[in-house]
Amino acid sequence: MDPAIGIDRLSKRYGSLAALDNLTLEIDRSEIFGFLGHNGAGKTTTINILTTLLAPTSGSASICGCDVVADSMKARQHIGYVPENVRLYDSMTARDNLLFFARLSGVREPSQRIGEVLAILDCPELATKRVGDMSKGQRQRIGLAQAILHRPDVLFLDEPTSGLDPLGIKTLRDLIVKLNRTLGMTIFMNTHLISEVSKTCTSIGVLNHGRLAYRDTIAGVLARFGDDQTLEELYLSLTPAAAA
Amino acid sequence: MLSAMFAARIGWRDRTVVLLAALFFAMVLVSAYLGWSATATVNAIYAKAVPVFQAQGKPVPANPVGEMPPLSLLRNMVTYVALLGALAALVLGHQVVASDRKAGVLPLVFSRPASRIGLALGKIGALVLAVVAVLLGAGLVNVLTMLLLPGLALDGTIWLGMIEFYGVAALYMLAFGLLGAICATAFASESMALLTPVTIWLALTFIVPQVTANIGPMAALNPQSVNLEVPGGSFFAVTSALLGPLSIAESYRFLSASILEVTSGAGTTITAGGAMLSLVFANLALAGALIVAIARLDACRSGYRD
Repeated sequence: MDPAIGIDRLSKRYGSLAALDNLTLEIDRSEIFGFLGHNGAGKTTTINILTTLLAPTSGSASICGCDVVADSMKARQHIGYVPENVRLYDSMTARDNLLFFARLSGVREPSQRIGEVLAILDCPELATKRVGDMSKGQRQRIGLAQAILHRPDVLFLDEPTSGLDPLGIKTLRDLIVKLNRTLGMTIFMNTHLISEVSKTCTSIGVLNHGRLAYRDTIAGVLARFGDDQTLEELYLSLTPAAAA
Repeated sequence: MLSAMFAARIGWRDRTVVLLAALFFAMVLVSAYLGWSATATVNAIYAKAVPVFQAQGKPVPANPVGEMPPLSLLRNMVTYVALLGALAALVLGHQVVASDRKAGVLPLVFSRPASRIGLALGKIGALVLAVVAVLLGAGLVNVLTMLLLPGLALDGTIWLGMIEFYGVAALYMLAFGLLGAICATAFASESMALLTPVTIWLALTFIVPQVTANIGPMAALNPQSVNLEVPGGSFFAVTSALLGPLSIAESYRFLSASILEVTSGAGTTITAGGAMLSLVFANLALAGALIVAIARLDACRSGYRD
């Protein structure tokens, strides 16, 4: 079976700047992968390429065996995407927004699916609320709902807990684990938060200036280095830019 | 189809679009009332004059209302479509794309398994739906006005002519809607995305007719202006040859004037076939340009700079 995500010598250059430099990575199905790195390390560029929004300069990437450039339409059928700041049509209700994205994703019986997804995310009461009137946490849930409407195999989350309060962070973390366990989704999560990673992820990768500096399972990291504090030290030692 | 309905719905939420469409519709209503009132007055005067002629033993002249081509009652519509209709379509076209860019939803939309060509066709479909809705409303008012007026000789050719006029008006408005959508897609600044098509509309409506046929800005809105002779001289010969084919405003005015029978066609070298070709070609070229613009839109930097 093809891995959920396969990345082979992927590079992205903006003029003389290498945002990604020969990144090679494989993520198995049903993993929760935490992608760590300082600002500008290339995490969002990686997600943009994997979600088919950006073309790489060289190298290749695939989602469940579908190349993100040559077979982008098929690759998109396997992915759900929640950007750092979830942006939806503010003047419309959550249901109307979800209906639009469900139809765009080719979901059959979209109304029924919307009900199911909102139930999974424990927020059926948000269906009739205008997105513009929602809190950051509620908006994040609807963002998550639009991403899983078509039951994707891989869910990409770019800094999912950014701007959330501690309760919102915990709620979202629980939802991510729930999606992974109940629906078997592979989760690829960009994050800054070390504590986030140890509580949610099954494996991690650390990106430094566009290069993969470290890759292991969380169990492997904890067995080798111990608690969160050590994980943070590991991260800082691998990413000098973040330490500075 | 869903994409078209959704885009149309989003577009109609813009206040400027609603205001312009409402103003257009209000002008149609006022025009219908004025037309009805003027014709009813002529009919009333004629009804009073007939017994007087008969009492004096003079021959009774024909009712001038019956002499008038019924479709010429719609001549004010030509101006409203060129002025308010085109502007409303332009702002609506801007809105169907700009609403997505301003909302910041394009990264989500472009990561869905839907082709960009399909999305662009959805935007075009939204524009067609909106333009048809506006013109259907206006057409309904015109039909009711004509049915309520006594003395008009209404037959199949009149209704056919009305459909032809609204078809031409739809093509004209759609062209500006597509222009608005292209600029809303291609420009990084929203101000430029709105100002550029408005400037092009102003140039096509008021400046090009002056340069190609010495038709003043106010006359350029009047369908009767197609009767004006193009001045002689090499300047107008060159400008009309170069800019004439680009001027969809002149094509629209000529076709409308011909259909509504308000022109003798004496003062122009435009032909109905050429004018129709110009309008159809403009729409196809603009639709193609919109598809290309949406296909090339950078999904990661899809918001406006301002």
